Amino acid sequence: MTVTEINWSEEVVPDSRFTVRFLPFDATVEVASGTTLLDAAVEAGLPVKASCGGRGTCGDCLLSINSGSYRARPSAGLSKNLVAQGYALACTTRVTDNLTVHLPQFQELSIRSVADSGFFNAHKDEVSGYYGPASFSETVADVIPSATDKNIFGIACDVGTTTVVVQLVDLRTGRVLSTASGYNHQLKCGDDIISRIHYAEKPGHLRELNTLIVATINRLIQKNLETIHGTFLDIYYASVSGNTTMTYLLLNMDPGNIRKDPYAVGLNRTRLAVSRNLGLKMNPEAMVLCAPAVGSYVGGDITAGLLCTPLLRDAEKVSLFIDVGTNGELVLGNRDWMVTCACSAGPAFEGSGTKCGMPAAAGAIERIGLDNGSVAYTVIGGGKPKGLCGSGLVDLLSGLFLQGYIDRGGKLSEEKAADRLVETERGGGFLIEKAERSYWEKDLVITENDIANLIRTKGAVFSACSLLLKNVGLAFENLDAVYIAGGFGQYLNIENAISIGLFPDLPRDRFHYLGNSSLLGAYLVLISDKNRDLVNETAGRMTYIELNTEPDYMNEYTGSLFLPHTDMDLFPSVKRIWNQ
Amino acid sequence: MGFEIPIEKNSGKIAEVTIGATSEQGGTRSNTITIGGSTALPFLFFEGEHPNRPALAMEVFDKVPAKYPEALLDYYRDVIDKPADMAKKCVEQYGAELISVRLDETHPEKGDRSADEAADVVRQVLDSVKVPLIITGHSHYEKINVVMKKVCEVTAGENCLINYVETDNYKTIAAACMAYNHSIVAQSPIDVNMAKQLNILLSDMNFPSEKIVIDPLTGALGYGLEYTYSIMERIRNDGLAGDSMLAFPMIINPGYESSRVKEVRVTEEEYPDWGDMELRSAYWETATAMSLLSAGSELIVMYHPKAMETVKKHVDELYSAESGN
Repeated sequence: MTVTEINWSEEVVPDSRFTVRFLPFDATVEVASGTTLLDAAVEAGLPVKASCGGRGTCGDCLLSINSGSYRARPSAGLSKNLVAQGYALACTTRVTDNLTVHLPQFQELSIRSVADSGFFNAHKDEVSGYYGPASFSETVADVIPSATDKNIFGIACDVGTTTVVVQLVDLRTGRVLSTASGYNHQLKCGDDIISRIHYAEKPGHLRELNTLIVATINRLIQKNLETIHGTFLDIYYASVSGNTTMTYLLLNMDPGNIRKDPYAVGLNRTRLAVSRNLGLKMNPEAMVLCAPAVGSYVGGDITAGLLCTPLLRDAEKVSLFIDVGTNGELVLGNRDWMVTCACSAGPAFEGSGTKCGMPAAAGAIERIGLDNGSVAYTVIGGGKPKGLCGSGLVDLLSGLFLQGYIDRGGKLSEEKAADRLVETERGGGFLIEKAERSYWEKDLVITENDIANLIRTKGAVFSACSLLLKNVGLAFENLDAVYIAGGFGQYLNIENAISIGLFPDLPRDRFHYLGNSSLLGAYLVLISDKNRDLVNETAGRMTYIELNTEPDYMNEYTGSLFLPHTDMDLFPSVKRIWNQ
Repeated sequence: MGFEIPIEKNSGKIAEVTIGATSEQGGTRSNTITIGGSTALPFLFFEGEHPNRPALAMEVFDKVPAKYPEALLDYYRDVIDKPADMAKKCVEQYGAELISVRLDETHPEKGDRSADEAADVVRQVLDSVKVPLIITGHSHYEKINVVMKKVCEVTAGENCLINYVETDNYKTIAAACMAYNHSIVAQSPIDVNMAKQLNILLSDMNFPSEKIVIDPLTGALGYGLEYTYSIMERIRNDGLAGDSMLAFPMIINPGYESSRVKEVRVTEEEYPDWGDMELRSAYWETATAMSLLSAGSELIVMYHPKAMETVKKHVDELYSAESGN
């Protein structure tokens, strides 16, 4: 690697063309010499943002350069120390060679955050899904080899809008051999489901989205195989759970109608496909099974996820299952009846959409407490913090609110927060950690915009809960159990989540945090045909409610855009603390 | 068996807000105006108490509005650029019970007049009329915060109605109102929840609840009036049902809203079917004001003298029917 830090203003003659390869997306573009990496990233369609508009001051477009020489201008947004480690700002770096570049904001996710199954491990006998020795599925009986010295592997795959997780499983024993996760390569085509559906409308784009998701899964399969030194020919079965749109795109089906209401979704039974037709890196004869969808925005991730809860077994109790993701999905009911709905929550608690947020990976603050001006936190993997994951954001918002740093509308109090008030490119904010003690050597700040984003997300989830209950004539206190799934990270603090109004104010022992239930559900379907049948039956019994057409939704939503809620009487325990 | 009117009993009561201060109260006004206090929906005298009549204000300007309607200029041509004289005319000739001073010229894009100059304008109006004042600002947060702070200071003791604060900008102005003992208008964009949220935020600052007036934001007739109407109705119903954070009187601006619509501004030559412009503009403002009075508003800011006269007459009739005269 050669850095050429000569006069930036000196023209680089655009006389030759070089390729720039961006990791982890594996996107490659060819650009003229002298092009900035920011322009190259935009041309590659990557979601690289620069809130300063490319002036080299905000530091948002940080990347590390793995190979090749380049010309970089020193800038205020980047410390000398980071430059020495090969970091550069995309907006102030010009291409003068073939480069391989890594985008650190899209680092590999840690396994711990995506495959935590504490609840499942502790309640294996109570959950709805059958859990026992793996049995070979009938569907793959014809293709698996009879020789006993051969490996027989399967994969469980959770295809999320933002992240994808693939687990490699020994189908003889049911043992998980390896787990890998990464960002969905489709991210460059839009952050949320609706923008992906839009994107797919143009000619050729459906195939592109399909290729991107297949490539994402294949890369993760490859990573798993590398860990155990296996071969893809030994993989005979895959169980996939994803939201409706992601499943459509994986199967190369046109998602255009999903947005149109009313729409009877086309994947309401498990769908079997042969891997060679999908292009997945498995044995060509291997079978791929996609969990069934219920409605446009309630997909296989939810039907499979329910297997990890006791909800499908309970006859008396009424439970609520909430999956907080880029799209929030809810299921209410028990063995005899179920209603379900989805809301557009935004990816704030998954770590996107806020300046200080990040996924629950190494370097993320997962727990944080405020105590009269001092801030104490724990970082995943130790060391200096890079940002906050969902559980950290919940803690922080709750702390800021209950200690009066922000008002109930989420605005910072100039008097109370005076010592920690800072101005950033994106407006005023609360200083969490100073530059010298943070990983990126930049102030770690939660801005008022970030806070507003978090409030919108929690408001969408809560108002959907509230409306779903109203639809069946129940109140919050009728809920016997609340099961929470989502990528918050390991230590979601229920008390704090209630105090910001994300979840209803119920006795805390009714809440159970499941972690990634979609992945676990896919795994359960993989190891037993009983679960496959159960998931099909479940999908057939769920009633889908479309919130967009509910006139009351907007009213419930604006009522929820407050801490904890405009109607404080809905949160008696928070009211007690607040009044003190 | 005779017919009995079914009567709905409400548990809540709309807060009473007094604007202005007489010399005994530390001000210089000849009288104060009290609004609110109702325990039933507007004009339903058989269901509850309506201790105070709706109040009718008129508006003067620090700068002639760029699009001031022709139909109104005929009434005000001589005084439109002299706020103190215009205020006098509104009170003495047209019966304004309060005067609103609109400080648009302090907006950085509309003249950037300084806070001191704005305070001078307010001072002049205070000297020329003896009715309570409403001070009306704009949405440039940084500037209006400076202006209102100054205006609050120089009018200390007068108990003006400072118009307005919103969720994104309330702290500075609310603090100034508390320090100099003024009342406040809490404005929210046609939404029950957001109206309530702002009132909660003000209460969390310990802002006295007998000094808050809600502006639910209105449009003129034909410009979403029915939407505003139902939001105001819901605010009032919730307030009467006992939600203390919505139990405040409401201010509306039919004059300002009507003055901006095409139906008030185009001449008869352009649209012969629409009839006489002068009459039409009065009708438009009257219809807007009367509708919003029925929705629950207690304080209306009018522009058109004819509309003012008509609305006043209607309110008189409705209230005199009650007292049996």
